[in-house]
Amino acid sequence: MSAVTRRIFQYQVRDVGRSRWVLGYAGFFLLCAEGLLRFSGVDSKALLGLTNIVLLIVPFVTMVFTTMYVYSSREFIEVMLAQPVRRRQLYMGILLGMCVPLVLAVVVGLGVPLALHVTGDPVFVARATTLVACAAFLTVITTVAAVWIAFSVTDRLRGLAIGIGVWLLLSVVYDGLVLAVITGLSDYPLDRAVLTLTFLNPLDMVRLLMLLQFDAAALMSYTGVLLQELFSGVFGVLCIGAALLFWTIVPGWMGYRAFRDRDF
Amino acid sequence: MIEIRGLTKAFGKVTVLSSIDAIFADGRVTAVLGPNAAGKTTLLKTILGLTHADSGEIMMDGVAVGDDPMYRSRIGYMPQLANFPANLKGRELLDMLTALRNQSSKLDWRLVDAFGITGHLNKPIGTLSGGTRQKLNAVIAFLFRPDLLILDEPTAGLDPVATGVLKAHVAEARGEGKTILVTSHIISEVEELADDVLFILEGKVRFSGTVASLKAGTSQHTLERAVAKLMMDVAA
Repeated sequence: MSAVTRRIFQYQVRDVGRSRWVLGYAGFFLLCAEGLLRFSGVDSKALLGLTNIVLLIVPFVTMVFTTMYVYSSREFIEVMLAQPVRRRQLYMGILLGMCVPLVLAVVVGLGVPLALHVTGDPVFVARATTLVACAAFLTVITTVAAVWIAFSVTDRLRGLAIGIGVWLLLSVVYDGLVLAVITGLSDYPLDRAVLTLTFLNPLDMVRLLMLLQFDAAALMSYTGVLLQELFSGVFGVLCIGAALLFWTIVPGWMGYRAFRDRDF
Repeated sequence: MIEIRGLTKAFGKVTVLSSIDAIFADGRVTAVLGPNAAGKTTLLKTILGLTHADSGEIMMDGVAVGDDPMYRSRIGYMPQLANFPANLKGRELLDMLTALRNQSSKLDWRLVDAFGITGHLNKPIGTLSGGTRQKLNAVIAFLFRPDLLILDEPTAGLDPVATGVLKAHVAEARGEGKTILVTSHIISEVEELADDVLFILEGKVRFSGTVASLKAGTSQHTLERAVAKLMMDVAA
């Protein structure tokens, strides 16, 4: 990281971290996790409940917060661009400065109650760790996508609408389509096709990772069995890792190109 | 000295700047004038690299600025809207810019005292009034004693006292041999400051020269009337 990127990053972190929304966001997870663990018991049921909250809330809040934040920092970006700063440096500073406070918010919000309630059960520890890691990954992927949207679309309302549309598509509509494909074409061997579809949606990847942790794959019928076989090994983890990396790097690069060519 | 050659910029089908040529000399204040949407702000932003020109080049002291961002370390910019991150304090923003520019000596803090905003620097910028933010905006533009000052509607939102302070500062910078570009839609405001006028209409340079020659050429006594005459002549 260049010195310029680091300075922009530091100030961005300070600004984002001070926002009441981020504090409230961390507090929300703190309350959810603490509440579930306290009233539902320190077991996998609580973790599964948390997983559902994470899968729904993290992408939505990250998407909305990041797009709104980037739009509202337009004038600040103009001030920065008037300084002897390369756009690449500014972009990296903004991106990292958005990611880190949001990741910290979910990691602290989920991690602290989980760590306080932790038992010696290695399965619980593994599942809790996966949950926190998944929340962090979701945050990174959504932030990168949101920054790309915000730098590609000039109009704030359109950008926000596209962001929410993407969220809706990936977290709700997409699953419905996959389900329709599975039920509509149930006479054909669709295992690999469904697997490919899952890899195309980063939210599904994370969902899959969590479900596999909970041995809930059996609930996902025949594809679930196939997925469990595939992902239980090192190969599966590498696949998921590569897919998540892909969903970070490609939108990240597209976002940079949009920012580089943008007129302010 | 800044020289602009054949600068052209279109947003979609709308040509905002059409082959603009101009020279901004050291130690002179050039008023960039024109009606709304004439391309004034786009011209300033293109000089800064905020907007990418479709063609043409910008030369600083005879050297094309190109892709290297370092030429901007010699520019102080006061944008039209003084919106800064709401959660940051003024002091933190100034510290960040100082660190970014890697310049901690020879800073010009005089405007902070002249505007009387020392106390406001320790408050989050979001809590400051529009006028105070505009003062901070001016402080930033002058802070690094830049060779080139680009001031876009600098007096918008400032009270008469602050406007006087800013004008005096601009006049002093001119005395030190700085190159200064000012836009304003209130022409009488720039009259006492400007040495030269660059009048833009629909993306084209319609007049470029000294204030005196503009007044003489249009046989008017005030800059405001001279510009009005110029616009009527172009329309006719």
